[in-house]
Amino acid sequence: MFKNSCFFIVIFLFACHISVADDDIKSMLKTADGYRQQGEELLIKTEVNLYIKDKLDKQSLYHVFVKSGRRSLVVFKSAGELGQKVLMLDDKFWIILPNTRRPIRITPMQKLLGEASVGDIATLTWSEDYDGTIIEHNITEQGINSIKLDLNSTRKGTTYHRIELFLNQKDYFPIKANLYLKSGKLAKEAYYENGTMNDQRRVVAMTLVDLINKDQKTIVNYESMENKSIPDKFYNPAFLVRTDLPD
Amino acid sequence: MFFRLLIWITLILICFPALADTAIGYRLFAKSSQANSTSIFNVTDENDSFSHSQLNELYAKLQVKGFNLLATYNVTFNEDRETEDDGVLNEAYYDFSASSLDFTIGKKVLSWGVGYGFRPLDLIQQENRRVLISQNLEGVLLTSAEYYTGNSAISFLITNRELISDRQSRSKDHEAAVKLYSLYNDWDLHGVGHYSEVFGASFGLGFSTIVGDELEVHASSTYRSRYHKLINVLTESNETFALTDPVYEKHYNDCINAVLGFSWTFQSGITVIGEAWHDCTAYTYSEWAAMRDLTKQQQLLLSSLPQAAQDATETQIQGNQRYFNQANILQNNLFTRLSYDGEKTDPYLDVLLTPDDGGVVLSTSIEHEIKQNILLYANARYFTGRSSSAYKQLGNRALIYLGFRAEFVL
Repeated sequence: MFKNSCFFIVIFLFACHISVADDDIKSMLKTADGYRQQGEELLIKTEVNLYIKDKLDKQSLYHVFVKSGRRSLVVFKSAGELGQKVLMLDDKFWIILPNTRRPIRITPMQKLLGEASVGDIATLTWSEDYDGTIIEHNITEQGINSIKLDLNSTRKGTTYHRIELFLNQKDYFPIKANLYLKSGKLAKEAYYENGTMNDQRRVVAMTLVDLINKDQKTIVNYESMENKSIPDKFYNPAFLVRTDLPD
Repeated sequence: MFFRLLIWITLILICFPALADTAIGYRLFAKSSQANSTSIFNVTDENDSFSHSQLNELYAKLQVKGFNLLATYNVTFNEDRETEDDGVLNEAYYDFSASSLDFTIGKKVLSWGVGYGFRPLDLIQQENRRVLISQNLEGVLLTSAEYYTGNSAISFLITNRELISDRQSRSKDHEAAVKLYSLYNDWDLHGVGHYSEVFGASFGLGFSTIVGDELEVHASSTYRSRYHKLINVLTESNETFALTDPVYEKHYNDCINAVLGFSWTFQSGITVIGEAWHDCTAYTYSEWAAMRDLTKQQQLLLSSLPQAAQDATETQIQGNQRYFNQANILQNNLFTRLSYDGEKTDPYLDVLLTPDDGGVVLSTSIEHEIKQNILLYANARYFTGRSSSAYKQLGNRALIYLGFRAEFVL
């Protein structure tokens, strides 16, 4: 009888621990997301600089519209890409290329292989896409006392299948992420830059070190982030052919 | 007129660069084509020599608050012909909203279909999807009204299109069309209905969907109540020579177009595309075989004819090549492409097979970005297959393009 009681108490405590840990992780990720994206409906103006062997090779400008329900619309603003858009609805993706008038449905793999940073700049939340466990407390990363999380994708179509995420132990500000592909290969390391935007503490830049193409490094500068609500129809794949987007 | 337009565009670009998304671009291609001396359509004594030309394209595009403009100016320098130049206002249209409807008015390119090599749903504007060098398309004059919900859309449009016949005569066609789109679970569903004064009623359905992370599958089919093809009247008789141009537009009723295909993208960056399609507006094997046999008979006759009749027969043999002036020569086609998405270099190799006559078209391309927005291209196409096949009998044996493109945002 006593043995059985002990067993159930242990199971109960273990279940409570898991539940608390889950809540902790969700709230940590939500806090971390808040440094990258604050608000439900946003327009984020982003500059992406691609470096090869530490020399600037390509500079691209994007306007990223984000809306609740895992919807984002990336509008390309650079030469050679003007008119190009990528739409992401949950785990579905469409692209419309410059000088064409037809959205094309693309696979998650094509999104990953296409414009190097589209998946990285259009997805700014971990809490909706990942779940995981705390691996280590009080680990020093980039000279900051951090907490290390091991996150696994809970959805189809996420750019990275697994993420090792380092958050500031004190306030859960993101420090670094190791980004793994579905194959298990470590694809990139992401470093998050602390700064101020709209008078709030934010991630103002992200440096992506490519571990597959080892000469490459991408710096994503979040130039501005403003609340911007655009109608639902702008996230309709058929609407991609239209050009009357708000600025 | 065109130069005046270009001046206006330039002024707008210079004066209001901050107000609009504007870009100018330049493309240059050197083209070499190798003649096919063994073709039954060849009436010259030339061997498989190469002829050369140079294509230059200057274009400007502007987009501001729903107003869109794309204009191109092309100059082609030919080795054996006069220089050709041509200015085209490809698109000039305005997208705007009123109440819960979205409207478009102006000249716009319409592209509705799913797939790569052939898109049956492109009922209004059917581009040749397999050109080696794609150029900016010219839109059609239209007025459209659209209604969008979160994941569905319905569009109504009317167009006023100019049709240019094989004999260069121009006529107007008025069309009305409706297009339906819906995203249902993981499926993109398309439906189109179309009525044209010239081509009658057509309608079609299509879909594309994603399976797993790597596979895309698509299919579409259309019914067309009226269509036409160029037919040589001599193939319908026992004659081998006509006193007037024997090629005429023959009208047909009721046919079905269809395409089924997939694209599979691997983590390595390699994509494999496979497609099979049936284009009922292309030639049946028997139509092609009748044309081939007629041309052979005309070739046999040549040596026995007096000079004047010989010249006329040669003209008719050359005129028979108008069977090749369409995107698909034969109705049934199998297509596969292997491509690689590299950081700087994107190559592909594709094969088109016409199983009815054993024709084969091999195409390859490599595109390399030497600097941001400056691309180098090399493209080549080789026509081969069974000796009696249409592709083996084309006037050209091979095509090679070398070129570059530069585009700048103002």
